[in-house]
Amino acid sequence: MAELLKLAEGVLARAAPGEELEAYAVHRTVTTVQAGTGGVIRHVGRAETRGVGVRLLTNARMGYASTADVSSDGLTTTVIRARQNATAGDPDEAVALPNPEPVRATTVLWDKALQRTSLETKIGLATHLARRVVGIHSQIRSIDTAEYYDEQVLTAVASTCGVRSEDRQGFAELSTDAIGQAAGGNVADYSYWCGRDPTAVDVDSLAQEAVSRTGRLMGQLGKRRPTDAAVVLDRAVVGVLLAAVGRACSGGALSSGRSAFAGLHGSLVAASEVDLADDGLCPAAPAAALVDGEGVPRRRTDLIRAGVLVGALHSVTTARAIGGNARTTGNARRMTHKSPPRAAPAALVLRPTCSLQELLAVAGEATYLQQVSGSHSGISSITGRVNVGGIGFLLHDGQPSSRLATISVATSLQAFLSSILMVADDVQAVPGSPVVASTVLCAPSWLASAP
Amino acid sequence: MDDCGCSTLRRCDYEPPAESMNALPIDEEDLGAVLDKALRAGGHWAEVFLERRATETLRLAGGGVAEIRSDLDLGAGVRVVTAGRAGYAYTNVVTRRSLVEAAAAAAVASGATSSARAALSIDLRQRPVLPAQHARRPPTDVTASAKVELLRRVDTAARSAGVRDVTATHVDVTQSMLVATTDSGVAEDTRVRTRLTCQVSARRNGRMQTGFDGPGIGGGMELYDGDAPEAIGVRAAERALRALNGIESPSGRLPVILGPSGGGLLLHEACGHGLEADALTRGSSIYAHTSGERVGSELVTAVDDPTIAAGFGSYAIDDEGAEAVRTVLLDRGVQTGALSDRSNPIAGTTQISANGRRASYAHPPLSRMSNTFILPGGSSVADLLGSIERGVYVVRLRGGDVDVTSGEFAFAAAETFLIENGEIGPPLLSLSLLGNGPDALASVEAVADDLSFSQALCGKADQWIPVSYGSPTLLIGGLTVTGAGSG
Repeated sequence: MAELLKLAEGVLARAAPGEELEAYAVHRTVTTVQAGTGGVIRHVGRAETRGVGVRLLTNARMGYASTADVSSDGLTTTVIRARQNATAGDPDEAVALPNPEPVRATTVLWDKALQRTSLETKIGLATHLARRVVGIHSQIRSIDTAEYYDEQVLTAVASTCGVRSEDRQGFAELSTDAIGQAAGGNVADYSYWCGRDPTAVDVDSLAQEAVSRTGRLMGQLGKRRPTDAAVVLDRAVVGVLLAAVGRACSGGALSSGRSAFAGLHGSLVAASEVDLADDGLCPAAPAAALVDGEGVPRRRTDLIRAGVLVGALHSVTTARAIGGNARTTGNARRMTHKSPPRAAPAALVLRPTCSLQELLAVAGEATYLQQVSGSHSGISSITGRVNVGGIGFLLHDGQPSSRLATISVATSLQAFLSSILMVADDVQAVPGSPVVASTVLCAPSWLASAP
Repeated sequence: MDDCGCSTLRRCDYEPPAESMNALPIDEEDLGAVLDKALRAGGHWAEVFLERRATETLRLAGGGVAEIRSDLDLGAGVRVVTAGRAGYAYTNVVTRRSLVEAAAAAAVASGATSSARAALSIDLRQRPVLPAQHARRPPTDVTASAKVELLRRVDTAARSAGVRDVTATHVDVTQSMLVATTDSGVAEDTRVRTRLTCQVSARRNGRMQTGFDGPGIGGGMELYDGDAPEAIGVRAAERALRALNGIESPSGRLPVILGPSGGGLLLHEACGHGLEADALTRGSSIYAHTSGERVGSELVTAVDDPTIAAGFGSYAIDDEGAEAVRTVLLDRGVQTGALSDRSNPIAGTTQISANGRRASYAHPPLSRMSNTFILPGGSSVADLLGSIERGVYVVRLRGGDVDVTSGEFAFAAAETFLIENGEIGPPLLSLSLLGNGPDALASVEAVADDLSFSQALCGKADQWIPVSYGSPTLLIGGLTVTGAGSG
């Protein structure tokens, strides 16, 4: 790790008088394994990459450049490109680098077990999972892919403002789909596990979950959905809705007005039972880290408390753009060294209010939405509109009964938040999303207009 | 074999185009050493994908420059296949030593066990290739300041049209890539693409609507010769302003007219992904068992063509080194083709359609689309409109998802109008279209003659690649429309 910080620190000497410079260095190792039906290994991948991103500020102008060439010449060229980019920009008084802050959190986001786990073990997880899915259910005889993925990332940030930070994170994921042969054609759903120690995953349970989820979508179409029934939202559905809420709560969206919650700070935006926070140190979240993408310690930030919008997610720049008492919340996120930090959620978490069993008991006769389709483009964090297809089934006494035809969901993020009645404690990270989601019970009104 | 034990290399007289970045810091001898290592380790087949990519991104927001960034990426991926199992390793430390290490790691990952195998003679002759993407005005010759000025023209035009919130982004990518395999020699391609996106929002009486335009080209700054920055800004602004006057959309099953952008995206999502050979091979596509059968209306002939000059998804060779070809996917509604790559050849053959594509050296190739479109028909748009008593006219789709297994799709519409008595009526507020791919294609009742293309980045398995999709205006007899209004 010290070498990576040394690499970042080495860039700083290239700053010219009057310039501020920040170097972000990253070293990433990745393993992927993909297996098909019967455990046939299709792909095994291993990788090791590194890179440096440079932010350069001069006369309130910021330029950015990044490179995979970390030789002395490569770094010098990168600083020159960042300087040229800054020169072509406009002055922006909000642009600044952070001052150093000590890291006080002791959350453990790194498990040596990940480093110790052999490639053979990782291959075995994917192949075992692929084999286990088939055979549980007579009409589920194939999968598309069972996949193992892990990532170990070292990062270092150094700046002429005095920031010196190093961090190490690592997580593993295991997932599979299950393809079921239903009367109206094939259907599929998936299961997913994420953690820091790949040897801790229960492969058999994961296989069973994929089969159960697909099995629920295979029955005959049932009666028409009663419009006065409560609505249970699966964690996968809650994940896509909260991800959009998180985008709307980012400082950049709020400061530019491109947010469904712009101008609503201090207003009631959700049911009074709703507490929503971003927990940048949440151990269950792949994106959790001790420091953010500009070296500021991560923390927990309340966004909605008792239904009232109380917070926003900030980097140094978005906080300065908002002004007033706004400060960075340690939410400057980078996907890689190739992009400058942006204010974004790390792990959105709803406060649980009950167990899953309690929620299902209260739900009784309800509509259960297990998947939504069209979420990438059908949910707008700017206008709050939600236009998606809902896939699910009816619950009878809290148990799955008949399958439903695709439901047209035409509503809004605000209506979703306002209709929440209960939040279960079955928290789980949602793949590809900055959400650690729970099953949620919503009032019938949320889907009242859906055919 | 030469003295160092590497495979003998032979070159033809082909001179790569001037744009080709011969700066790739690996020579033929190095490539031979890497492939040789893969085979000596027991691999049956091996490939090196080497790439240098320069990306410039400039974003104007709130009236000022919000971001200017440059990225230079250089890396290589080594794939080794042993008895059908693929091992892949990549690195962005591009030296002979690191690539040889990657080859060894990929061989182990592929399950190769033999270390005593004699090296084979690898034919690394370079095959001549004419790039499908050629920049008449290379973006690398244009300064950041000049690109900023283009964005200011977009911003000014949009604001003059009546919106206040404008975000304009210019991205240009110059990629030089090389593929060397143990059985097909070496092929190089240079790809240049340029795109401008303009996103605006407009507000009136507490209502907010967004507008978007995003033309792109498989080429350089000549993008702005064909499409002036001002026109891009005005189009985005007009879409947002029109939507402010929207009424709630009806719901239920209705006739739908899809404009060229919408029809192209429907084809891409609801049919194209299902015809990618990896999903067909695994049996997870709804089209897995319908080859040779009618899956669409007789009016629909659809193709994928990476050879289109200046296409956003064009290439001369795919990312496995195979020469690009046009593939007919649907011939008058009959499923005739598939998009295949080396790992997933056309069923029952060893043929591939050269659709193996990857987002970068950090990914193994997948079966992907390039430029996918429906051929024009003989009707006029007026004919299509005139045949509808009450329906919805969807000019553009914002995007959508498709379940490849069931064929079910959901698309969010971005620019829509009510159709009443054959006339275009008022604009509609946001709505989505739900349906099933084969059902929708079978319901195409008329095809107009106004084929045009849109550009996008298409995501699959966390890999985002440039594509274009196109269609003439289509009349679909019935799709489920999800609006907030009543039917």
